[in-house]
Amino acid sequence: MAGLRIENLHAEAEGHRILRGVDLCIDAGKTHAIMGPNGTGKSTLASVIMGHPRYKVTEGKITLDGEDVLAMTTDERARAGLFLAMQSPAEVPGVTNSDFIKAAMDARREGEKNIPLFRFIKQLDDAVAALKMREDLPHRYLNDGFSGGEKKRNEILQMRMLHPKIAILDEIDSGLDVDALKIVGDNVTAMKDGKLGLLLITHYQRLLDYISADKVSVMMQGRIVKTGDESLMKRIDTEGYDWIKEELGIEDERVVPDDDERVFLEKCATKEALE
Amino acid sequence: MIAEQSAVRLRFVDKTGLVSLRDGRVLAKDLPRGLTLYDEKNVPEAVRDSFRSFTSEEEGFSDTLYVVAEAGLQKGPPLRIMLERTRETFRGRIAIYLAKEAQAEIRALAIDEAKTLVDDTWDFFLAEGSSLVFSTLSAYEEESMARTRRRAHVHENATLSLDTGALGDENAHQENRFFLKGRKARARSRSVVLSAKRQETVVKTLMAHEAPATESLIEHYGVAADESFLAFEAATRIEKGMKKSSARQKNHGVILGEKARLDANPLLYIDEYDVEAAHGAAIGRIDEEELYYLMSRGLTERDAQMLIIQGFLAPLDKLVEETDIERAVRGLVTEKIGR
Ligand SMILES: Nc1ncnc2c1ncn2[C@@H]1O[C@H](COP(=O)(O)OP(=O)(O)OP(=O)(O)O)[C@@H](O)[C@H]1O
Ligand SMILES: [Mg+2]
Repeated sequence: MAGLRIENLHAEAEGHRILRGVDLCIDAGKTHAIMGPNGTGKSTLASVIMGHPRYKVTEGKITLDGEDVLAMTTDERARAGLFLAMQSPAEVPGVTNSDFIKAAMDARREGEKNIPLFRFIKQLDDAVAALKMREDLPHRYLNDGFSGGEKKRNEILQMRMLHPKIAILDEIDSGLDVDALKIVGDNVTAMKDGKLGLLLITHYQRLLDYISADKVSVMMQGRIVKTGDESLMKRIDTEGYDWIKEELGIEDERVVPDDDERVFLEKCATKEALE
Repeated sequence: MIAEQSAVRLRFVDKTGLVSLRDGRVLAKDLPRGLTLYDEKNVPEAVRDSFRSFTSEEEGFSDTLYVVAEAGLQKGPPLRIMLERTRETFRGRIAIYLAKEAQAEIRALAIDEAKTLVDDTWDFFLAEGSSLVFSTLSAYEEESMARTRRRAHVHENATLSLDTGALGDENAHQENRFFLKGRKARARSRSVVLSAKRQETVVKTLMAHEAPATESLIEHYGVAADESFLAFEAATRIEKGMKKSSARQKNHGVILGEKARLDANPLLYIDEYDVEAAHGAAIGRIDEEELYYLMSRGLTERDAQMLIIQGFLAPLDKLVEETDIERAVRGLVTEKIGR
């Protein structure tokens, strides 16, 4: 089946093992939500899928429609149809939003002519209106001085312009007021065309009021530990994560601290021994 | 090389107010009103005398141009000066005199057609209340060496804004010295340098506050690629008694590649308490997060870098207004560092 397949993915950064065997499928036309306490590797998974240079994959496979994603550079992954709306996108002063988006659209038209300026402006205007953004947005520098909510909308604006096959939205709901959440949610839902595969990373069930999910998974300790449907998210929303930890016998759900603590204890131990 | 490879050779399209300095001759067309030009042969003794007070004693220039803006001149269309170097060595003197309350804008382009050794001296005199907006772009051949000295005397209530862009393949040494000689004199110097291959470029800018309530700003922008070396030296001197003066310096640079070097040395010598002074430096490689963000939308690494650098050089847009030159500059940016 078409889509993104992740098998036994392990990745590390700066000597920390963060992802420890992720198995996940995002099917074309389906929406998959991931939840999980802070620091359990959700954003890392998104970054690794996109090819962030700070992470090293040590084991496992990622394929998009059967193509080896790990063999591609970040820009090749984007042109192959992957899109990541980032939890905290970079600010790029000096580069205007419209120059950037136009360059990104032209980059996808390999071998073809660049998008005609007039058509581009029309599309961008429509997207700005649909997301109810400030009209001067195209001329503002990319994310520079944007409010938290403006940055999130700008990510969705880009998604609208770029028509990805698979979109990963990392906490697109955080920092949005209620009205903005509805606008963003409705825009994303409008992009569902039966082919778009969506991965929603979120902490809150309310996002699903606007974007329905076919599957819900929970991430802990750098792995997917549980998968269910929307009712799983509802239960987490009211009861928290303790019941899952109990069920699975997990004490510390995070990824990094255990390593660090061990090192720290060892240091103390040697210090005491010396004394 | 630039002249041959790029279809965007630096040229003025708009020829009004164009003066060209070629083979020791001054060719002028439709000079803006209120401006008078002389070369070494036809300069009257009285004008020469008034120029002596601020130009250097040196002699032996191969090409000379004196520009006088008459007192009270209102700002009109810009004077364009084209410096074309057809000989192997070129020692130019360009002296610009603004009489009281005169306002003028001058844009200069300097190019060569073959390897040259350029040694130019520019002298500026701004009498009380005058104002000059001056910008210059240069693009020489790879084996050329360009040495440029600019010296400006800015008197009471006068304002000088000087923009330079070095975009060619030459080795260059620029020295810009500004003397703020009267109360409320103001000077701003902005230099933009693109260096690539094995180019070596040094830009030194000095601001000397010699009167109270004077204001200065030094801005250096640079991109160093390949194995090039680029150095910015900014020095500001505020002497004792020059109260209420303000001085600022900015050094901004992007280093591309492992072997390029970009140094910035900001210096502030201040011998007076009642002043404002600040300097900021931002020199470094392209931010990894910015590059990743642009690439995550499908831009190749090269295109992403170019976009970031174009953004970084946004001040160039103000430096050049003619659209064809603007295009030329963009073309040169891509050609020089976008390989
Ligand atoms: N580049 C990195 N270098 C070192 N540690 C990292 C790096 N990236 C992530 N980590 C660590 O890995 C762990 C997982 O981080 P990640 O951002 O993936 O969590 P998350 O599940 O997205 O959390 P949140 O819900 O708070 O957004 C954290 O402890 C984090 O500090
Ligand atoms: Mg996160």
